[in-house]
Amino acid sequence: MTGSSDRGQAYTLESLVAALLLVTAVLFALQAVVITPTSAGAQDRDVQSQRHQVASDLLTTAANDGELSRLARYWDCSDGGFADASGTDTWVPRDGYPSDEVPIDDFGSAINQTFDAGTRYNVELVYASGDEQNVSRIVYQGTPGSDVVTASHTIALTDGQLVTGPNYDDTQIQNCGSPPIKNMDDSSNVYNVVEIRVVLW
Amino acid sequence: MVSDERGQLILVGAIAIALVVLGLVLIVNTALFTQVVGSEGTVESAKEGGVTGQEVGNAMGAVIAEENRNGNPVSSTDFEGVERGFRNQSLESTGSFVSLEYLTDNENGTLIEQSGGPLIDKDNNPDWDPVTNGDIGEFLLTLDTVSSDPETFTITVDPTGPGSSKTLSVSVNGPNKIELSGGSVSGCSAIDTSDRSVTIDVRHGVVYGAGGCEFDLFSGIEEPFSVEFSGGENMDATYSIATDQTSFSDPDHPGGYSIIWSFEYAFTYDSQDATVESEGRVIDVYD
Repeated sequence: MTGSSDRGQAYTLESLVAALLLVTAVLFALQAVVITPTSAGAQDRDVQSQRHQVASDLLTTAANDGELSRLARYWDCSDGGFADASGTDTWVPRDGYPSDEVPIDDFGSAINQTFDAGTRYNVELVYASGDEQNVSRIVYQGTPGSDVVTASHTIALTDGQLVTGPNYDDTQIQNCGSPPIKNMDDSSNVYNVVEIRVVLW
Repeated sequence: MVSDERGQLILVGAIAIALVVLGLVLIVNTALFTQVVGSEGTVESAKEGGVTGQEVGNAMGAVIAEENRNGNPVSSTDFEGVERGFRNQSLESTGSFVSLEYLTDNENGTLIEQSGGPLIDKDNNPDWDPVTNGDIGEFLLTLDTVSSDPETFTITVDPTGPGSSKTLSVSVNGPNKIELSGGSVSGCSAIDTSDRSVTIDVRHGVVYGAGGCEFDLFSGIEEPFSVEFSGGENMDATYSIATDQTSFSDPDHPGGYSIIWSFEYAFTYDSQDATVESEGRVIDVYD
């Protein structure tokens, strides 16, 4: 009698444990999330990808309007640097233009309007200079943080394009006395190939 | 005895089913993780290849536009220059390789060019439509403000389809001042030209050397459209207009010559993750 009673309790306990295991497993399966690389970084990878896409679109739009080309030709032919922006301040080689005042049309304001106030960015021009690549800062807002996103667009400058800086009306870039970007191809109309890079964080 | 075995069987069965469920979850998670990580570089690289192809096409367009301005035919050295420049640039920055091929399937347009003198020949035709029912890719107007008399030159763009016309007036107000007025103009009053000529990129709304001046004469106007000149009989100026019109003949006005309006090219982008080979792409020189 005692043996039968023990077996009955044992069956009950075993069934309860089995049921518990099954329910736990099902619950775990339902609660499990897909593990992707998004879990690794501080900033969601989808967000980073989205910001990259938006920055690329901005650059493409600016390139189609000719703004990137005009930005790359905003020179002061007397000192080998980029021109001082009227209404802003002086361009300096390592710091670019102060704050966010890109001196060409809507490119700077488009960046400011597209990204929120907490977003900081640098704009750089990368171009061939001798045997190496030279980088000129156009806008410098600091050292990028960990959640950095980079987008770039590459354009070609041609010999007969005009310098867009103040007081250089009708001056072709090939005739600029002291250009910040040098002519790297004397055998063709291509003056240089310039990558405009936006670094966001 | 039979009952004891049944209890153990149920327990073992439950544990086995639970393990199978857990295993499935693990496999699905791993598969999804691998899929995301594995495809990431390739997709991005292929996308990058497409963008680079577009950049190369635009660069070739810039070179052709320059040859158009100079009245020269396109030469192979121009494209070798573009290819060389992009190859060096992309090798340095992304480690990828770009090559391109120029396909000579071009569409022609016309470049109307006035090299000097008054804008309009008032004796023969005071108002003139340099473009009728066409599109404009480039429109550069250079004014000699020192020798021009005070006067206003007006450009009117009139769409062939629906929409209203827009005007841009360029006034010389003395030897060192010009003023732009009309639709979509801002910050263009009293532009100091400082004893020099001033170039206006009418198509893109830019006055070279005048920061803060913006206008957009062609916003909201779809091609085809016509462009009319009026005034400017005493303004010393030059201009060049690249249009998709192929026929141009007017003995009273500046002549035009044939240019390349659009062209076809193919490119190959080769990076560590992906190779992108394009079919022939047609691109407008002035886009």
